[in-house]
Amino acid sequence: MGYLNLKKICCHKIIFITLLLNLLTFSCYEGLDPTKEISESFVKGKVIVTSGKSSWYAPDSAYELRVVGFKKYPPTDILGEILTGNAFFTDTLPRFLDTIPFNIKFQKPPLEIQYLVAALRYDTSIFKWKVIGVFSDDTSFERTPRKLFIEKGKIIENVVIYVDFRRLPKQPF
Amino acid sequence: MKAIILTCLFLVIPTILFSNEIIGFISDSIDNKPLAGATIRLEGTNFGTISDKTGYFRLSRIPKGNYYIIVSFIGYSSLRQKVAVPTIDTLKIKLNPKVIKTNELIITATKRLQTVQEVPVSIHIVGEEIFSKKNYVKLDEALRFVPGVVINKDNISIRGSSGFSFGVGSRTAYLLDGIPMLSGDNGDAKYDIIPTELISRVEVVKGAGSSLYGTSAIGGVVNLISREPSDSLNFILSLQSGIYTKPKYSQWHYTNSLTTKSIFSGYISGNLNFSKALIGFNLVNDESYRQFDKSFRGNVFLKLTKDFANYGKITLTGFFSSDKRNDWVFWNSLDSATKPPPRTDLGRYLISNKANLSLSTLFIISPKTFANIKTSIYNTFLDNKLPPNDPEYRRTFANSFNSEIQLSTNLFENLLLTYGLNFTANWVNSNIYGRHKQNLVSAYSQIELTRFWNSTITLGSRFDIEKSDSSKTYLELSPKLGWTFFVDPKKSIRFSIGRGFRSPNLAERFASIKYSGFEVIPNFNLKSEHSWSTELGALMEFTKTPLPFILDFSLFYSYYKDFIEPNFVQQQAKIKFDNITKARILGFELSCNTLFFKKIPYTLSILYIDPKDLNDNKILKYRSKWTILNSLTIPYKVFTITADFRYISKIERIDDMLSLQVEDYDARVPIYVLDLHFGLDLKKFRIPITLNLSVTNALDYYYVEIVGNLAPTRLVSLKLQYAY
Repeated sequence: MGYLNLKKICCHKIIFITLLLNLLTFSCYEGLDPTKEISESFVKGKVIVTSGKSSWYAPDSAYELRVVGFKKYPPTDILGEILTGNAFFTDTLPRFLDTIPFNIKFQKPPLEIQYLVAALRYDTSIFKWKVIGVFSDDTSFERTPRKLFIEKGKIIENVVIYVDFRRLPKQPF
Repeated sequence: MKAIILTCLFLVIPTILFSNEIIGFISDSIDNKPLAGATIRLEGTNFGTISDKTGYFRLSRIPKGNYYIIVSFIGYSSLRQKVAVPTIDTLKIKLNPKVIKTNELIITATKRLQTVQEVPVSIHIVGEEIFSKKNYVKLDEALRFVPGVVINKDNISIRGSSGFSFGVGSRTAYLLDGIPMLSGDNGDAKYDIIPTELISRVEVVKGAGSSLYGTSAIGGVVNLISREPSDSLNFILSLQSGIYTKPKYSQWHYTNSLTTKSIFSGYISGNLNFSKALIGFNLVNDESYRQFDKSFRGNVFLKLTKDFANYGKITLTGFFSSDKRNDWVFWNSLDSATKPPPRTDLGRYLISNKANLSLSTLFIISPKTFANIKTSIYNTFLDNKLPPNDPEYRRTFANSFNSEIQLSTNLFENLLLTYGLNFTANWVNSNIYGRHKQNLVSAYSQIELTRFWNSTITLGSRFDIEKSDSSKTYLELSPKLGWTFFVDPKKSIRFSIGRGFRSPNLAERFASIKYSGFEVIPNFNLKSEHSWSTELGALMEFTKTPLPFILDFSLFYSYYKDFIEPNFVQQQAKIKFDNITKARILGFELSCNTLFFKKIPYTLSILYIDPKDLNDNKILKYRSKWTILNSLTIPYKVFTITADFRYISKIERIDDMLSLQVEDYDARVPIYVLDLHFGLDLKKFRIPITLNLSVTNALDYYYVEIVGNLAPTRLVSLKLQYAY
């Protein structure tokens, strides 16, 4: 009987102390910190469809929209560059709008992005991509890309990629 | 004349036939202390009552016969005892204290008196001691510690049913004493409609409840039960004052002085000649931890009850609540998270009023049939005090009228039929919504078979017709099946499946508003959203293990169609509410109550949800997968220390379009919040004073619950309460 009671008290003590220790562990977390140096780098901006919302391709020709940043220009193809770690991309972005915000995270900065584009998957196949807009100051068909230098822990904001569905840029792949 | 005689006979004969009564006294089996507030009911009938302050109760108008009387009280084992009517002697009932306190209260959230063990869905009850011992000022502060519940501004999300929807629309029915209290325009829940001292308990029913409560109960039901007026004079006065400690980052210091939160509240209750009455109030002045977030609130609540022992009971309830507050929407940036965007006019404020009057009448038609008629009008008013030609001017006047007749009939000893009709009318007059009306007419019925192969089986359905202005008429049918199997008196297994729906509210259909850079545009074609929900659960009590514990485990699955979500459209930040998503939420919930060293209660609950948007096969926006709650209470003589800890995993997905208006919109982290409460109760020394010190967010952990809104930082508050 005494042994059972001792076992019971030990059981209570072990669990109780474990709980208190867990609580102390949680006190180490600090949450949001405005002073923390950001180790990752971001590029934030908008894709603006200058030809208007109505100029978008039909849904069966516009499956997916992403903004992709390439380390090299011209790239070979999107998937190949991603698989070799030479391209960074956003999550799937909303389509059929005329202003679409985006946010790309870059691992292992500093680095230079030579070619930043809005890319549209126009087929059910994951290999069928088309560049519909380039980050550039050039409005000609060539749309000479504007380079971006990504510093460690920095955020580059207000990057705008213009898309004109009536005048698509030169396709690199 | 003939009619008058027949009416008199109709009224008099049942009184003579059913004039038997049971009088009883309920006490603690160890110290014989009377137990006030214990629930008594006669099994298989509609007869039930609650013991008074002296532990006595009386059940009247009972037909002759043999019955089982069931007595339950929180912290005590329920008792089932045979009783023959008529009885001559006073029944003396002694209840044995339970090793572990359970939530074994009788609940009304399923529109019938039941024990938690009988209900085929998950239930959680927040007792009055939570409000009296924890310095909570608004209901949402307590709901944050209910397993499976997450608060998103004015929305209560049960098991992930709701995300962030700009404070519009609720997937949880919100009731006060069983009467709907969602506003007529936004359909949102106002947490300050009743001072927290006047809340007797809060019942949270998880899973679709539309088969009884119709629209908005698609995710569950939250029912606030207000205090009953007492027989003898009883009053309480409380004074509470607290300070927000300075955040550790100097960027967030927007003022040199410490900001405070002060509350003065109280109530008086007693027996007037014509009825029992309770009147309460509170005044809250909150300087807030953020600039441009100050508020001052006042609230009055009144409840009158008249008990006609043989015929029923009438209850009149009313409240008026008014608050003047700054119109905080989101932060300037993470770097200045306690300040609004620079363009904000810091002198701006808004006035928000809420008023309600409800009449509830219980008729005992016969010993086997009860009728409950409830009528209520709920008014909300909002004015942001800008000139009418300002693009952001908002002035809204909305009403929600609700009327319901509910009947309960015992068809046989173990077969109960509950049925009723419900009419709801919402109308709004506003510069942002226009003038619009919405009507809902409903009929429902539920049949319950008890003690059938150790089971309770519930089968119910509700039919709703919804029409707003020029929109189409929508018809909804919400069936539900529930089954509880009692393995033994300490173990039960439950299963339920039901359909839920939610009609869009007037704001979602007609809102046309611009504020803080956002623009909401109307969608006149918005239709209802639907769900199918199912749950398999078990409630088990283990008292002979080295560590006694009670375990409640549930597996649940919900499928949603035509989900109404705020959706960014066109250019800039235009938002339209649309039926966009097919979704499913599956998960499990585990709750465990135990008692260390026979006197230290501990509760652990774990919720896991996997919410998926089936349109794009991604996690639903604004949902966290894991929620873990812990509560430990250490009593020592006149002192009590309680530690409540809440962990919510990081929200994985939000709407990137918010970046158009909200700086650092994606700044978010997992939530680790610890609240500490220290209590000193001098009642044991016959001094009617309690002193509570609360430290909410004691670790001063910085997090967001909604985008661009730093959650409350550490608040240290002291409450002094005098009770007569």
